[in-house]
Amino acid sequence: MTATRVPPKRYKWALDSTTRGKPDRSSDLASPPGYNPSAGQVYTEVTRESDPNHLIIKKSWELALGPLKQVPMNLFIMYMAGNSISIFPIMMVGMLIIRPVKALFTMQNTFKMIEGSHAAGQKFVYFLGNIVSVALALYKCHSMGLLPSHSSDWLAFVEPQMRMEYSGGGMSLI
Amino acid sequence: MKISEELNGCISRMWLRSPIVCLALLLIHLNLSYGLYEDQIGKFDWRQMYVGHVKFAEFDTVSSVKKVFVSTEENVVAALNLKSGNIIWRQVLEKKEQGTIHFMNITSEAVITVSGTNPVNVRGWDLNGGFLLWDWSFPLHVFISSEEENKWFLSDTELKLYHISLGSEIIVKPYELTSGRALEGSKLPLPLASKPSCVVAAPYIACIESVGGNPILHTVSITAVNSKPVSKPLKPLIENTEVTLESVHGSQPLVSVTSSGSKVKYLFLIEETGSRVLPYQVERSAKLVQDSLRESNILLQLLYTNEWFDVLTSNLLTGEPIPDVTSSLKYPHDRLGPPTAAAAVCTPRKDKGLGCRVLFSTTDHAVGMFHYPGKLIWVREEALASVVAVEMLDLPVSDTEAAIEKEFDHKEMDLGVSSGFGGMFTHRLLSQTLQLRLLILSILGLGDPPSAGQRAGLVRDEFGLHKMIVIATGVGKLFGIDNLSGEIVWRRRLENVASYSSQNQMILYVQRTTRHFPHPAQCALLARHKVSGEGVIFTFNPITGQPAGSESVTLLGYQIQQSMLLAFTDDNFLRGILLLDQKEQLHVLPSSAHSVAVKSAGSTFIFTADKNTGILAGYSLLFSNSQKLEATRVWEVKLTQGKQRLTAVVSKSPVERVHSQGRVLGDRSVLYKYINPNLVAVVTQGFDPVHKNFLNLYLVDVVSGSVVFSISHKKAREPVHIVHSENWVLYSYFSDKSRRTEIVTLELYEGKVQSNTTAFSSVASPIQPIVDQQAYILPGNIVAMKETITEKGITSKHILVALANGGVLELPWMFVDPRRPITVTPEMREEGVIPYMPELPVPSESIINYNQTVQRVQGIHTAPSGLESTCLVLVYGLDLYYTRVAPSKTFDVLKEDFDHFLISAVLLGLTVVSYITRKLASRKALKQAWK
Repeated sequence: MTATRVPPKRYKWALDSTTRGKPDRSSDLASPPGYNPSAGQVYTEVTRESDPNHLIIKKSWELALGPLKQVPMNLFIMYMAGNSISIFPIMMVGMLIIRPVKALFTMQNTFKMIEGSHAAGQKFVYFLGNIVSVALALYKCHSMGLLPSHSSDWLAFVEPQMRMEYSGGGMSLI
Repeated sequence: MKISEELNGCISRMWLRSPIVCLALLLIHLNLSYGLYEDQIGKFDWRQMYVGHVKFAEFDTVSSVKKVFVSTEENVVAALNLKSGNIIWRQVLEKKEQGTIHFMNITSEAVITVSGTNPVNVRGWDLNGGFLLWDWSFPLHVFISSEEENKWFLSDTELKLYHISLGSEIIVKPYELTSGRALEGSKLPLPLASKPSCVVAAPYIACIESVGGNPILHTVSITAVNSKPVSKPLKPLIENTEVTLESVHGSQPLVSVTSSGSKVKYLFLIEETGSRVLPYQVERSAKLVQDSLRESNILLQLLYTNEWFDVLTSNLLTGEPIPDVTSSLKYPHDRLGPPTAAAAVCTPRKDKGLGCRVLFSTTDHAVGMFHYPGKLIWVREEALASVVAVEMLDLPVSDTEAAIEKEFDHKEMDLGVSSGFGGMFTHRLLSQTLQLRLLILSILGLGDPPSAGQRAGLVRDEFGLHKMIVIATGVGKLFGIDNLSGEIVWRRRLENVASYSSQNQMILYVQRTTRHFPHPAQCALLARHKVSGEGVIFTFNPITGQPAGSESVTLLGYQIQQSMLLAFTDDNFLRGILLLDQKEQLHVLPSSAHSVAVKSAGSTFIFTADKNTGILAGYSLLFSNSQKLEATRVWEVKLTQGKQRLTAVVSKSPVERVHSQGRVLGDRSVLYKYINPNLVAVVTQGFDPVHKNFLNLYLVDVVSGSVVFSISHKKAREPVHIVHSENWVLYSYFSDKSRRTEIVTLELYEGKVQSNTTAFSSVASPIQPIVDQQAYILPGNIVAMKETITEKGITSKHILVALANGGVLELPWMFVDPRRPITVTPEMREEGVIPYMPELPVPSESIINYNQTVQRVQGIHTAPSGLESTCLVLVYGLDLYYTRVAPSKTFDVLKEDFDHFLISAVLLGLTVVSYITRKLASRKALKQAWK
């Protein structure tokens, strides 16, 4: 049994009903239900951890990791959309491209509030996540054949060959 | 609507093919469903029917609706309306010798024609409807085709047709007219020594011969049983031995005799007992026609002298003139050639006078009708039945646009003002005040009169659909035809001009288009002098028909072997013509283009193909200097052996542009087209004891002389038709083995990479192209083929196929694509080619001339219009048919049924509604704020 153990710090409220038997024989009274001697300690710890700076960092990490977390979902959507060119896949691909690009453009705005030692790293992760999303969307475009990646896509711009020699004639008229 | 029909058809045929094929077909048909709505008939197209140069003519004196029957050199029998000259009915006989009409006459029931050589066809045509009443033939084993030696005589009373052959002896063979049963023939006992000249003067035959310097007239009856010939020496009247004998058409057996030196004709009336000379003489050049009037026979003398066309009527027997018809009419000699009367008829009029109608044909193949007393009633330009060259040109800009063009024409401006921004601005102000003044003046009815072209409505339109069709005909008459209405705008007759005998063609070059205002457009016609065979050139303004240089044709003084238009223009935007004469000397016309020719000499090549020897020879101009142009033979290829003959040389259209340089494959790579502008297709034909008729096709680069590709077909014979365009060649032939018309297509590709992306040279590192080929079956006989052409070459190409049944089929290139796969792979499906099926469809919606049958098509001319989607088409042959086609549908213009009204009403409505709602919304917001 892990009765002597201190409950995990992260839990503010925890009731350990198994700690009665063994530990404090010396004390006359059993502690009332819900009493935890180390609660104060925990509390202090929690208050230390939940100081605003720490929270901001945590929140901003969440923000920074957001785009990356969406990647599996996007992959799934892409898979479901298929490669045919019709209105819904096109809309999806459009969204896939537009969202990260928008996010990249408004990055300054998003990170205006965020300061701290992690800011640079978070910015980088956020940026990376969006780039990955864009890359995914582009890959989707490519597999749908929407990217001008083949020579055939540039065929309309190929100039006709210039004529070097001029010829004329035909059947003899005599 | 059409699409839904396609879909229905597709669904109902679903059991035949897989849905994918069905869908593919549907997609194809989405683009390519043509057809025409009923109300579009005649909106974009017109047809003109012709009969050709008149050979025989007879007035209809029998039926109630009076008409004139003609039979022509083009093997056509037709009835023309007396008042308008319109065709009442027309029958087209066989081509060439087998349809040549030897004789035409009318009975009370039918028009009788005798045509063909072996067998000879005798046909009776219904007078009113032109239906075939009977048709029988008889073989002539030793038929002498010249018309002098076969005479025909129709006995209206006996209903017998007599064939008289004038060989070493005169044999008469009668036939029953309607059944064709041969009756017993006879030999005419004419005592002839030398070869006589004979005519039929029904029911006699009259021959003239010279015995010892004295002309003798022999006459003998054809119909009488034991007729005896009667001979009459002409000694006191005519002493000259060179005499001409003519029969005078009509009810009485009358012949005219004239000698070479004489100015008059003597008339002889033939009787059983001999011939009687009439007591008067007529003018030598007069055409004589007999007619009967008020129970007496009259003689009409039709005479053309000094721009006047006269009719003299006289009593046949006495020669007394009948005064009330004798009259003369002014002949329009400026637009028609000298006439000869073909037939005439006189009828009494209500006012007791006499009205005479004269049908005449002219040397320039027109046919017209005079009415005496009165005027020229109508003229038909039958020269248009033998078109040899066609061009379509843009019309010049309107007067106002011309004024704007002038503004930007720097040459016109004086140097002080033209340069710089300020100068341009002042110029603009000046020209606009000028325009304003012109506008006010024109409103007030003052000012300069509009130009002739402007008055006639011959100005360029917005879409470049209004053009001038310039036509050169085989008799050397040029026409300018308005393409929208089909009216002849101008005509010009050239004397002593003939087409090149080898291909029956003249060459029409556009030296300058109408784009170079203020320089007028200029065309040049190259032809052959009728007598000497020398080359002749005639330069003219194609819009007005006025000569650009000398008034008539210019004799060049040498025979033209080959000609080409220079690639570059001179300072006046005029392209010179390069001519190679029979001695391989080079000439350039006009001489002002000499410097341009010399400048571009290094890149100019000319080639010639000899039909008889089968030799193709190429010449380079490289060794020319500024004094003299010189053609040096640089290569020679002999393509035939033995009795093979070279039958066709086809190069690409010089005005063609290719927009797409390659073809996208299923894997999205590009197959680059092999677009060699110097490539020509050459066809040789021959006979082989094993393979029977065979046909070879060579693709020859005419700059280097290299044979790029060649193919041979066994048991294939003419008619061979070739279309050569972009990177493909399409040709058709008749397969002897399977007895059907086959179409073969060849497509040439450079490969997946372009060897040189900027320039194409035939000499530097020539490429061997990849050739795709495929053969198809066309259910029909082809008489002419041509590809459509558009301004920029973006629109897909269709092949226009004139079929022997008189239809013109628009065949999409997609159907004859050599890449149509036999086994369908996903890649091929991705590429958009339809699976291979050997039979080509001939849907009736694709017949562009719907029920407007065109007979005996000689060729098809296509020209781009100002709209990229639209191609203008002129089909010529016996008939002219003009229309326009849009191979990829009219993607660049709104549909005709586009609802402008609805769209603008909706737009206007929406704008108004949005304004009102804005007002309402702001009011509501204000109220909300006060609450």
